[in-house]
Amino acid sequence: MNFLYIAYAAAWLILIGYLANLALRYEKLRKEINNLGRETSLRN
Amino acid sequence: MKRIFPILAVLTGAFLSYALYLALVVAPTEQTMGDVQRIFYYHVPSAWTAFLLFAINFVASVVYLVRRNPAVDAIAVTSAEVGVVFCTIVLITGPLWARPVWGIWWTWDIRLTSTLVLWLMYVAYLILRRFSTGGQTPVIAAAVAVFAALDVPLVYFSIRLFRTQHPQPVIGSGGSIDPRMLHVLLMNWYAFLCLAALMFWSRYRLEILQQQLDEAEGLESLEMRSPR
Repeated sequence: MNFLYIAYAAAWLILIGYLANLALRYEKLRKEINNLGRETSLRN
Repeated sequence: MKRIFPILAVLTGAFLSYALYLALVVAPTEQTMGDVQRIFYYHVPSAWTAFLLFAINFVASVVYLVRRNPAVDAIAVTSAEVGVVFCTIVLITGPLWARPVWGIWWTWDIRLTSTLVLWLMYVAYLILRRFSTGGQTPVIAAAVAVFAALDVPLVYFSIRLFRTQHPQPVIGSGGSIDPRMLHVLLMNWYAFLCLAALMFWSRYRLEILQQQLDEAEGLESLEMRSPR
């Protein structure tokens, strides 16, 4: 029974971990885009 | 799509919860293995989802090699990454099922080994995409993906073509599965497909944004170099 719960927990950990990783990457990219926009507007 | 996405995410979460309930509570207990056999409801749908995503990666890679369209390249990298996530679940739930049933965590049987090789090839593909900065990276990656995809049919047909430790197919030709188990299996697969579609969409948007950012940064550096 333990193996069953460990397997399900592991699967959910992987899925949630990946979703969290996607959210972090999205946030980082959004910041980079904002920075680039700010730099461009400052130069112009 | 921005407004629909949270609704789809909630619906997918509800569907996954229902599928989990079916797998843990509603599905009948298998007579020989007992409750541990319920790992099947995550192990098999994860494998099917990974195969589907790797097939999408293969098609997108071939199309990219022909047309060199960045949107198709984004589809290729997205499907490979989400496919690796589901393939990782297969490789983790498999040994957790094998240990109580076979008495071993792993054996170098063709089904298990070819699945591990498949995972390694797509991880190599993603490492290439992540750390190679040359302009030819998408082309080289697409060529690598075409070779990696050749392993998918080997994984799928290995249990039919070779004598393996891995169980024979329980559905399709020659398979016999309790209809209640089949229903739970398919419900879990559909739920995983919905989740994979949401992951795919999020990752695809990320890739397109990254491509646009890279393009904008490239243009900016050109502007800075050119004399005013």
